[in-house]
Amino acid sequence: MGDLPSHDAILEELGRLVPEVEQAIAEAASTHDLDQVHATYLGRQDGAVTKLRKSIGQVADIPTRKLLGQTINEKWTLLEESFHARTAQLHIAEEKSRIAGEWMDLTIPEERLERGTLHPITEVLNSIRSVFGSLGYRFVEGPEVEYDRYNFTFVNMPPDHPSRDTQDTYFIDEARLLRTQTSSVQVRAMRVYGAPMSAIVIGRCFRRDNDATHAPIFYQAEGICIDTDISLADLKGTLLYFMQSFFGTDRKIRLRPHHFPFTEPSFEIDISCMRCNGSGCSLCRKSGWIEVLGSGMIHPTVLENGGIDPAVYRGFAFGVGLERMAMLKYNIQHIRHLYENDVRFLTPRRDG
Amino acid sequence: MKLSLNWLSSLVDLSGIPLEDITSALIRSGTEVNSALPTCAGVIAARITSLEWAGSKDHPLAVCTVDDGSGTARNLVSGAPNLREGVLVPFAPPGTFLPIIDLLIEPRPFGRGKWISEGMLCSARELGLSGDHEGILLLEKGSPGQPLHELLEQDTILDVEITTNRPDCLSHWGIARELAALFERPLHSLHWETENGPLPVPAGKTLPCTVTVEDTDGCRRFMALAMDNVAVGPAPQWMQQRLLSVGVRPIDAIVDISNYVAHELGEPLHMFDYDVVAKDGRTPGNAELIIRRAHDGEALLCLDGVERHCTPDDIVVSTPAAALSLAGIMGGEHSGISASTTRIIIEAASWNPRRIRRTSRLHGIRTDASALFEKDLSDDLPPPAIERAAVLVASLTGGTLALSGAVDIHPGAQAPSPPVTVTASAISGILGYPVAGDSVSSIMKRLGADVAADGEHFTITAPVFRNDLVLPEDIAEEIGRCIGYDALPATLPGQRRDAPRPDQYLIDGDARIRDIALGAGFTEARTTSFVSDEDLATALPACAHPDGSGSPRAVTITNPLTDIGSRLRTSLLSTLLRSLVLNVNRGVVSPRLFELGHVYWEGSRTSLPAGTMPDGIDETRTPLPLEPRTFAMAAAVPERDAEGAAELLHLMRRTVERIVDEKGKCRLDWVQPDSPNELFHPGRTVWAYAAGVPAGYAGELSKSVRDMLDCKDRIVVLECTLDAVITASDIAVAYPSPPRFPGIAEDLALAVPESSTGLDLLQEITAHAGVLLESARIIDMYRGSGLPEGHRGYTVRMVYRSPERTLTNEEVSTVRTAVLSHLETALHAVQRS
Repeated sequence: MGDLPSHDAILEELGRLVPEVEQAIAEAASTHDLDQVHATYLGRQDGAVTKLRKSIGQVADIPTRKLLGQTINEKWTLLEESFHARTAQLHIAEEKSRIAGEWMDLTIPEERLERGTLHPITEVLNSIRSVFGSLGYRFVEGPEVEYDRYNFTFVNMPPDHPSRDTQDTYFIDEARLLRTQTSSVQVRAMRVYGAPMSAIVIGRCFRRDNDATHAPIFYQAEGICIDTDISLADLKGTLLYFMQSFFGTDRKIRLRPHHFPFTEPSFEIDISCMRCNGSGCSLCRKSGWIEVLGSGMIHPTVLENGGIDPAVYRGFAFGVGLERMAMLKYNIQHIRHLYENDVRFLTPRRDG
Repeated sequence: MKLSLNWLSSLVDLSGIPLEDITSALIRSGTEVNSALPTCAGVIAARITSLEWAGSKDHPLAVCTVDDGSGTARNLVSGAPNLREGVLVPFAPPGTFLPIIDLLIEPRPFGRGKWISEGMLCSARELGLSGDHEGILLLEKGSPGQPLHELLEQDTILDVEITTNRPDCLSHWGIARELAALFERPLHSLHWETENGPLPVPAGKTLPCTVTVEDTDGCRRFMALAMDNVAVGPAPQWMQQRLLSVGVRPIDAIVDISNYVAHELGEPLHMFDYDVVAKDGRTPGNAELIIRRAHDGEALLCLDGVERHCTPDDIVVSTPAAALSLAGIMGGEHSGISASTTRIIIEAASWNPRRIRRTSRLHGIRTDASALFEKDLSDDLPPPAIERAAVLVASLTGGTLALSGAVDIHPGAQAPSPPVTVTASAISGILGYPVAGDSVSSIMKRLGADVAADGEHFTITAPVFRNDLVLPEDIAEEIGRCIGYDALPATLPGQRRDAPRPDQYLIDGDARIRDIALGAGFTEARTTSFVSDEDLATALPACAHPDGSGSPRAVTITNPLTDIGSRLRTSLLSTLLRSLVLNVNRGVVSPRLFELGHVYWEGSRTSLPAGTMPDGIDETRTPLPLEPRTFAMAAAVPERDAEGAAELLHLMRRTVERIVDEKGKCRLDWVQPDSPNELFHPGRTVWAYAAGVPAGYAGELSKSVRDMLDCKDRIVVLECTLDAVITASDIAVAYPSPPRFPGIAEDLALAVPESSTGLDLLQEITAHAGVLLESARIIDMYRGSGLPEGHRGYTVRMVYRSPERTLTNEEVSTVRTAVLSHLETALHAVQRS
């Protein structure tokens, strides 16, 4: 058992400890080290300075004890302040270095969110649906394997009609064939819905043809609009709205008289060339116009076949090939690409 | 069809009308003009400044330099024998298009690339000036660089397309008539004379000629005219030039005249050697023509040297002894004009177009004549045509009329179109544009119709050559195209009175289904409908049972194209796999495709697509095949990536389950087949059932199928018939209130004998857990150590919840104990520690 701590001894020890603690605080390299330093000297249980302070209680003289207490507390407060100051300092440095360590190179181009893309024919189909949906047309469908009558006879192409020759047809048997045109749905729709009616059919058709400009399968959209007062001007307005919705509001249209068995009068519809704006280029073969649609006023015989009285009702009809629309709009180089389904083709680029 | 502007100008006065106006008027009135090209545009005069002969003895080549006025000497090579230094010749520089020979001039190598010809020197024929192709045209005047049209008369060649309803436009005359109406210009009369007036009617000697039309169905009109003193020689330059300009090679005056009249008036003629015909007459010296059906099997040696065996459907022009020609299509070898012919019979006729078309198709002969006759030419064409031909024969060959006029048998007069009665207001209604009565009357008169006005009504009798004008709509079209459709306003139809029910136009189609598939990273494909029998073997229809039973029959095409297969697909996979493998073989890494489309199942249709109605007659006799809407996915991963294939299989099933969650009318149940289908990896195949009926499948393809498809990668597929699962209409959706009390989640680790599947496990749990179990799903399946032999480990995440209170641990424990004890009894499944 040693001597009771003397006033002088405590002060001496304090005088030795304080610079030691201050040096340790100053030299601590991290907040972690600093916490160690704190525990060593100022820790609640075993800190060296803590112990020293506790030892005051053994000093007999109360005024001396009080004075010593004051002195130690002052030093203690100073040391705590140094400690906190150093903590803050180290914390900032450590935060900085942590943040620096979390640096990301956000300039590296990202892989794309994985998502498939629609087939260009579907893109066209969706556009047509939204255009004619906005005009209040109903959507109807018909069978792809169709009776000869609906595909030909009812739309004014009776057996032996020369126009049948121009539509290379796949036959299944005497009564059935693969429809060569969505016009096959005209009479079906008329018989179900009667007049007045406006309807649009979009579907797969077939021609016995496989070359640079034809695929054996293709898609057509067919629109019909029947009422008592439908005129050619309505046809022109509807198709202008359609073409401008699809190809842009700069497009003009031209009705070029033509001949189809199921319409009278009949027209091919040209749009002003989207590449040269009508001044003539290789796309429009220098004419300024591009042929996109066939159309006309529904032939009275077709209305009759659909059970609609041609003395009361008139209507227009139009048909358009979706491949041609897609190729023109998306600058597709070859029809072959459309049905090969090469993913690198089906993933479109957006240039500029 | 090619037209010469010079030729047109000889039939209608086009003076002062610019070419652009002519083509534009034609296009806007229904005659498509593909091109209108000057014959010599871009061709200039050039002088040969040096010349060396090269090439072989048989094929000498003139290697020259020419002065084209540009100051730079051009190197040119030509095979023409008549070139020499100093001559002035027509020169077509690169980029020139020569319409007569359809040739775009480009620099061209000669002598295996030893020389490059920077353009072409032209012959008279290449410029449409005459038939002379012996050498380069030598110019008599002009200077280097001068455009050729300043030195020579130039023509413009129009390339036009005539629609099938306008056979009256298939000639220079027809287009001239259109132009006369469009520009209100005078038209040449349909009557021709020689320079010395009408053809003299000979006195005395005649060449007797009789005609009998037996086949009155085939022949509507037959005219014959005999001419004497014909001297067959070349036609004059002007005629050769015109024929060349429309792409016809001049031969001799008689052949050229028949071609000329065909192109001028649109009526193909035929020329017989009178003496050959008369030799076979029943009365010696009398030419006797009989128009009849051919005898079955009757042989006829045609002008092209091919002997054809006719059927009674064919029409022949015959002597009493033998057939002379296949009427309206091709002449016979023996009765044609030869160099020694001095007496001829000119035939001008009108034939039944359907019979001509059938014969042409049956024998596979398509001639300029058949192309015209099968389009229903007017019966009024033969008289002017035969007159025109006679005048030309007299003028060009010295021929004289041998009869006082032509034989004209007209047994089946074409029925003229009945008059059409219209009002200006009706026409205005069709066009949507006000048209005055005066316009209706004057336009129709210009087009050659008779117009009788009675108050508001116009009774319009179309000219014979316009038998396409039968309806008020036809009249409206004539008025519209003559006024010009550019004048038409663009309006939208008025207030629609047929507003469909919202569900008939607001349905999103399959947009949502596609969107879900896109979100899973699959790209949409659209594949063909045609497959071969081999293709059918590599895919199952979605309605088939795992053992392959229940597969529908495929629809068969009777006239397939050889390279695309004769069947229609019964499964989307048969065609989708082809596209997938194409991607793999082209080096696309891990392609993922989906398709939404129709397949075709032969058999009775049970439902028709929306908006269609049953067809009373054929539905029962020859039903249409079913066309179920089908959804399929296919993806490939490298062979080594078994885990990747497994994950894809999960992804595909998650995708289709998502679709069914949103659009389905019933759930899909996934069942492991008892007998694996050899299409699939035996351990990776599952069948989907909708209300107990097979609705599709998912799995990884077996190695043998991949070998058949020639694909090294693993292929994972899913196919599902949407008709069985998806409703057409929208499903009612409700947003629920969130639960008020917390749920308790815990995972149960179970060892389950291999005789049971995950589906069995979940069914047992949900059937016996009671109302406090909110959900149970398998979050892990484990095989390997730590399990009893013949067992698999499943981890099931159980979520318990009550809508009325917060559950206590004791309540959960009661449910768990009940479930575990049931599983032990039913499946011999035990909880793992």
